[in-house]
Amino acid sequence: MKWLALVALAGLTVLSFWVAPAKSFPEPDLARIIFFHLPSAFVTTLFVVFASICSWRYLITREWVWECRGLAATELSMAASVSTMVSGILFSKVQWGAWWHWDPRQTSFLIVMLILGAYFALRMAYEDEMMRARISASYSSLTLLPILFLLFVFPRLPQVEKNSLHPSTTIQSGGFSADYWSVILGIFVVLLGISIWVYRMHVAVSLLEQKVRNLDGNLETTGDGTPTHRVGRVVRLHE
Amino acid sequence: MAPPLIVWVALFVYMNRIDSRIKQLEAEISKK
Repeated sequence: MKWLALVALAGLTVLSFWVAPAKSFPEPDLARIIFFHLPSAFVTTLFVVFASICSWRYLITREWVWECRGLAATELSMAASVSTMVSGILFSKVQWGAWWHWDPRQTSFLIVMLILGAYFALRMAYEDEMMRARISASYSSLTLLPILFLLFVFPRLPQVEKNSLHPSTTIQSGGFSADYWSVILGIFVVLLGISIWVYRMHVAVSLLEQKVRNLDGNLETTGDGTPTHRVGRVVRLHE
Repeated sequence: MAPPLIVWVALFVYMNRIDSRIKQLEAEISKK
């Protein structure tokens, strides 16, 4: 399955260099990075929303599996956001002449990345697993609305949009041909499939590591592997 | 064309590492 996904991705990458360039860009031929930039942005958004849902579920149910899912989803959203930003910076250099323009869309996405980075910084501040899980789940669920605002609302405000270099109506105005779109969607589908696979493996690793710690006797746990507060074990000495 | 292909190879290596880690953890659990 892994092989198939990677071969599909490689095939789509080769295809991305064959489709006719999109004419709506200053440098049409060099705009092909869009094939990787857009799918990465879509994957970032999906995993950010999913991470918040997992965090809400953890706060409601306190089941450890939701904490593992929230962490894995946030890791994937961070990875996808880095990919989006790097491809965006390359696009900016080629199309607009500089690596960074403080463009509203660039800047708002940078803020989104900082918000995601703060999640991991917050987790590192707590040694106790239960506190760490609770605090990071609260943070993740509270940051969903600001992130969605920064991704979808702020760049489309009229006073912001008119000063932005970043295209926002290329899709709606039919700036991409059918061939272009099919490659973008193909790469998105394969990238999403690989991301979901990596996400599931991350969750499996987290749950297995928790199980190993439980078997080592380091933590008292409830039935589903959720660590409770650490307790001292009473050791009876034989007289 | 080379940079994206290098990224996909790195991704493949990473996916294999996760697989190995899972197998390692499962072996550790079955020993205990």
